[in-house]
Amino acid sequence: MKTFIKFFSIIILLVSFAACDVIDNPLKEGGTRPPVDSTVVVRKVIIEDFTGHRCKNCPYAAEKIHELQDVYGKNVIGIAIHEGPSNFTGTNADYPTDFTTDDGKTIYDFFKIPALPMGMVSRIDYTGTGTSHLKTYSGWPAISAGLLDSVAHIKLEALVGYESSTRTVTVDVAATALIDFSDDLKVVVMILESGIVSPQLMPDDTRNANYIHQHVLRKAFTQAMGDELALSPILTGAIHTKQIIGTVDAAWVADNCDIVVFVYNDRTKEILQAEQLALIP
Amino acid sequence: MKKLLPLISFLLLTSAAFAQETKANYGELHGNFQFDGQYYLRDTKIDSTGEFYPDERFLGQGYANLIYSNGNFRAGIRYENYQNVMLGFPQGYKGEGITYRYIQWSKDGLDITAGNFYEQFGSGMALRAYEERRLGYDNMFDGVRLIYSPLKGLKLKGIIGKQRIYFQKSPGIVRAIDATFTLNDLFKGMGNSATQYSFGGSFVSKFQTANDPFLNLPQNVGLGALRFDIVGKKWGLNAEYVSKANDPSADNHDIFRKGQALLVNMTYTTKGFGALIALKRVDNMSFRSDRNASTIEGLINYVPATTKVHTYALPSLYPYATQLNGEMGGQAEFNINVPRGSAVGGKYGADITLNYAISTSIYKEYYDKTDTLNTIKYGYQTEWFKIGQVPYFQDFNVKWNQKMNKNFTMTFTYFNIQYNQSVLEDGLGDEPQIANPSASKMVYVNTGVAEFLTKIKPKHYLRTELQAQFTKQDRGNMAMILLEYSISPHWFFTIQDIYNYGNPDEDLKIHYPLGSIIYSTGTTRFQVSYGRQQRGIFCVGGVCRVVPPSNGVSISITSTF
Repeated sequence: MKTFIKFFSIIILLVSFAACDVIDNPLKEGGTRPPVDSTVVVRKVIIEDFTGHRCKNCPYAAEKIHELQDVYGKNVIGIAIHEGPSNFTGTNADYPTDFTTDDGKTIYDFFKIPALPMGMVSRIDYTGTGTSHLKTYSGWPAISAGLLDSVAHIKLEALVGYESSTRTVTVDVAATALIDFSDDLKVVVMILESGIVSPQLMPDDTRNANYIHQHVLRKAFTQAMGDELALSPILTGAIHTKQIIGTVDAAWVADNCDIVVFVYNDRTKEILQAEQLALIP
Repeated sequence: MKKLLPLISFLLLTSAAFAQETKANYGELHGNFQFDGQYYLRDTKIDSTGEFYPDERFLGQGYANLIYSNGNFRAGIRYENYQNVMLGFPQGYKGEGITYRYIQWSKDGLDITAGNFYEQFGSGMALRAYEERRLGYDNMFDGVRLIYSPLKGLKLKGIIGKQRIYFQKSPGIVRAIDATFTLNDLFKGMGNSATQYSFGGSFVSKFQTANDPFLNLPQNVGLGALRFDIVGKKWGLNAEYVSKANDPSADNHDIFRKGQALLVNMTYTTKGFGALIALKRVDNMSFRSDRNASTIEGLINYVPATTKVHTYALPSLYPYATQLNGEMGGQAEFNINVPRGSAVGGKYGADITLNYAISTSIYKEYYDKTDTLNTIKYGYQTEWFKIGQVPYFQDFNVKWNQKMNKNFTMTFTYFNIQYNQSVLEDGLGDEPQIANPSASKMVYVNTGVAEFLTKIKPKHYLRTELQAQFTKQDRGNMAMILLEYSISPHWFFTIQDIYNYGNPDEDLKIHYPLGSIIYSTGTTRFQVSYGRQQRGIFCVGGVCRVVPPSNGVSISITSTF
């Protein structure tokens, strides 16, 4: 008995003194990352931010993406997907712009988004059930940093051609496998628009009539859940190409549009590589 | 099924092994089963765009528990299925599988649980793993628990494990210990005392890896708690104080402020009179095993509500949900039994209940946002005894229950509720409401309920409810009538209608009818219902979920053995 009490006491003391980190300086000094070696293929990160113009906490999430882009530049790609319950995304006299899209709804429904703001970071941790793939914006920095430090398995090159007279865009995609794959790969090509001035409900419950909406999903030129890019098995060094053609809607400002291309593993849904290019360089 | 078979085999083998040891004692096997399903009907009145109308049309979910016990040995499993999740329940549950399995035995005074378990330390403010199926809440542990009593009057608990989040686990690991000292058992001289004294303490720590590029996040976060409980013949007093180290999270917008909470409960009962007073102050006490989790996911602790949960349909539309980021308030309730034969009590006497509860924010002075370091370290400054600037909730209700004769009892209840819709539904923080008090959308509600219970003839009862709710805000005035006819012990018939005649939207001045039939036989119960359900918030113990509007036919089956 005495031995057991001693043993128990030691466990208690160990747990008590070892398991609490008191942080005196919460902010990391330096902050920015060192320049990336240009010869190394960087695994770029996509944050799909499910948002709504009547969602008061959603600007926090948008701000988090901007913070990350300040540090990581174009290695972090944000996509604002306006989809969710109508009390967050619906239109009325105060919030007249309809940002919702059929493609956004397809993605929203597939990944079962339960609340706004909510996001996915390169669609990691998707299991087909549960919510592990859904990440609140406070978790985006750590996950993004981890993914940026990971080894890229795909090298992705994209070329965008835009014919202004017909508002036609042609996207040529070339994906090089950097490892062997036993899963199929899919490709998604989307067009985003930034610089849209339209009202947004703010965290203090006020309406910001001049809010600037960035990287808003306008349309997927592929299917929303992607087109087939390569069937397994895929060997290291294999290059798979695809040409996607789309039309830029007359209502979108072409100068403010970007094309986002990403390749994902069709079994895990994880986005392996991404690129973002201006529609008009 | 592939997962289920090995587990059943394991249980049978285990039972056989123990049966041998106990000489043909095969132990006991118990179980229970529940299934709920609803066929949804498209109803353009309550859902004009069809956004809540499920593609599946029929949604069903259920579970079955199987528990085997033999002497000091227990083992159990639970199978759950959500195919698919019913409206209003967390979508993360979509799927099916074994969610709960454990073995437990006691040997030499040591109680060991391996696998899944539920646990609570003290009031729960330090640690509480529990299940509330009606909310879709389940934060059980998967790990190991040891319970040991080295001497009479001292109970030690130690746990380590990960928490359930739907069909997955939280990324954080929870380690916790708890000690409870019962002084009347520890000291012989106190053994015969009419007053029972006990005190205890807990330490809980969570670990989650951190890789944030901007913040030095703590990977280990500790929480300590102290409590006491004194129970006399007529009165009782218990309190618990909890303090938590820096725990930046999605809940508190990544501030490194320490958390603390105090809960005090006092009770007094004597013949014909009972009183309860509860006081609470909570500051930054969200404590989750995943710092990025939200809603009901990964909560390690539980902050009890100090407001009354109403069961009548109309006042329950405005419930209170505990605010983990900070709240202060309390509750006082007095139960008075008016003696029979008195002028007020009449021939059979009467019961009167008075209840008052209030909750506000804690007092906060926010740092200027340009003061980045203090903002992120502390978030705000506060004073313990200063009343918070933002009203959250206030509820005064009085209930009069009077038996008129052997066959007729009536109950009248009045509710006066003040409900901060911005906080309790929209999630608006304190800061904008302190800066601009008019940002708080307050709903002022007056509700009256008359309830009559009539014994028609032996085994036949009729219960009638008449409810009227008045408010100039939110959905406006409503009226309700309910008739329940029961034929004991098998049949139960209910019909009710809520009419939202005062809705400011003309299209929503509609009826919400509901009818149900219940049949019970032995330990099995069948229920069939049809009705239109309005948008609402369903709460249990201060934890709430939003219920979307729906229309359809529901079935429910429960059975135990």
